[in-house]
Amino acid sequence: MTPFVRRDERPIEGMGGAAVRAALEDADLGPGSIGEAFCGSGYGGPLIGQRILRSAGISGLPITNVENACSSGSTAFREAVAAVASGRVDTAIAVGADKLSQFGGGTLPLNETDPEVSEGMVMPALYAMRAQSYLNDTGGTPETLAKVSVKARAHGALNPNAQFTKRVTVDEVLGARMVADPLTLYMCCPTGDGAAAAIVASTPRDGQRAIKVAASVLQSGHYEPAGFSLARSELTERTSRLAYEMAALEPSDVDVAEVHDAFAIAELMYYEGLQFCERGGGAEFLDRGESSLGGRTPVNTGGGLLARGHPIGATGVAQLCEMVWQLRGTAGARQVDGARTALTHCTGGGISGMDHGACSIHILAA
Amino acid sequence: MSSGTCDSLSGTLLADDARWRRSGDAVVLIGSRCASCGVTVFPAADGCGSCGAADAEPVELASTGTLFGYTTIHVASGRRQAPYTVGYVDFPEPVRVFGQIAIPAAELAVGIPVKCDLGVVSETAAGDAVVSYRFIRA
Repeated sequence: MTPFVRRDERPIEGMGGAAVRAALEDADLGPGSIGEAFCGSGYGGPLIGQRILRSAGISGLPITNVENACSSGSTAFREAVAAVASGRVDTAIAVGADKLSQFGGGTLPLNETDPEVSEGMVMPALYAMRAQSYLNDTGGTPETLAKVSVKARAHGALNPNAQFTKRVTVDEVLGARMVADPLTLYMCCPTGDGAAAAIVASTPRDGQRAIKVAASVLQSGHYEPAGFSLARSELTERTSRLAYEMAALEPSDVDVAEVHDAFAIAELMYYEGLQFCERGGGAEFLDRGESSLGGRTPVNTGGGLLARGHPIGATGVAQLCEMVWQLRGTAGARQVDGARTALTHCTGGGISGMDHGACSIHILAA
Repeated sequence: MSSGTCDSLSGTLLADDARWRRSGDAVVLIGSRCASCGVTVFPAADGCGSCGAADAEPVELASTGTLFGYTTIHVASGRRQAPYTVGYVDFPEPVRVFGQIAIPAAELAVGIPVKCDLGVVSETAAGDAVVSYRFIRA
């Protein structure tokens, strides 16, 4: 992956190409060995995959471009897994990239034909209402949310690829400017630029322990025009159940996870949705340090979206990179000792009448 | 909202919209109900998002709903001036509607009854005010 930054001066093609070359080098493969490619991007525009891959010397092969909002990169990875699993190709690459600096800051542009977006819905507003509902249900306070950001920044401080590498305190998080009540700026992921790539192969590289894809699941939100609970995510619950079933694993088997913490509240909801703890137990799970490095299930060792950053299409693939490094034992200062099973969870998309647009979960096993 | 305010809006703005109907002082939202499965949606849609049938009929929502959740947004978004307050209102059909809220912060609470008026919610690229439904205290 490229370091995630507020603004990468390279065009998206150059940034994505750098991520692809890094993945090829890591796998000790040449450009000609890739049988099929999938590119996830939210805002990269037409033929983004062809444009990126060409800059890394890859052309002529089947390339599929994938847009699935925040899940674009993880959806592209799922397609790469499927292409190899089907026997269609031996080796496939998934690349994700986005340059949010093109928008000059502010909230993520959403589709104005959506009836909620046309009335002023922005992603922080949706999560702010989720936060109010969650805190109301659980008796939590904004300090509970702030602790998620403190943990994310602490992990990000150990990740040279993170957009934010400076620790923050609960007081600093609570004192940051308000974005959407009760979410302050530090409780919201930043906008920025980045790219990441991952290669899937039918056989492991010589001399290296295989990291297997034990589960690869994609679901979309159910349409619920009468409304749904804002304090939990039915979509994440459903997708994770399918993933655990596919991997024949229990939530307690997960040693380390990357979870879609676009906003601080999201991480608490997803601890519960992924069954790392019981419903309503997210804050306590965090408080006990279970999700911090050294805890039972460290979550977002790379800093998560809150600290590593969230260049939409790149995020899902960056999560997979982080988990691969954990399973290889090469995550440096943020290494989880003896990690054998890792989970990535990527979800999002502001769409009216649905919990979220898409959710993709992968489970990797060393 | 008084009808006088509505009239002053309609003098300069596009206050007509398929999503609502003015009824005296009241503003009634118009959704659609699927004739096959009975699910109500807002705004009205040709195809039912629940069962896929294409025989939905327009339906006026109840004049009041209940505030389900809300937040005040402090960052400018598109051509909306910050701060502005938005939220979800549950109508009894049942259907949940998102929109801007024009209720003083001190009076805002989950569960309060709300109704609709019309007001300026943003502006167009050309600088013209955009009018839409808003939620006010019932």
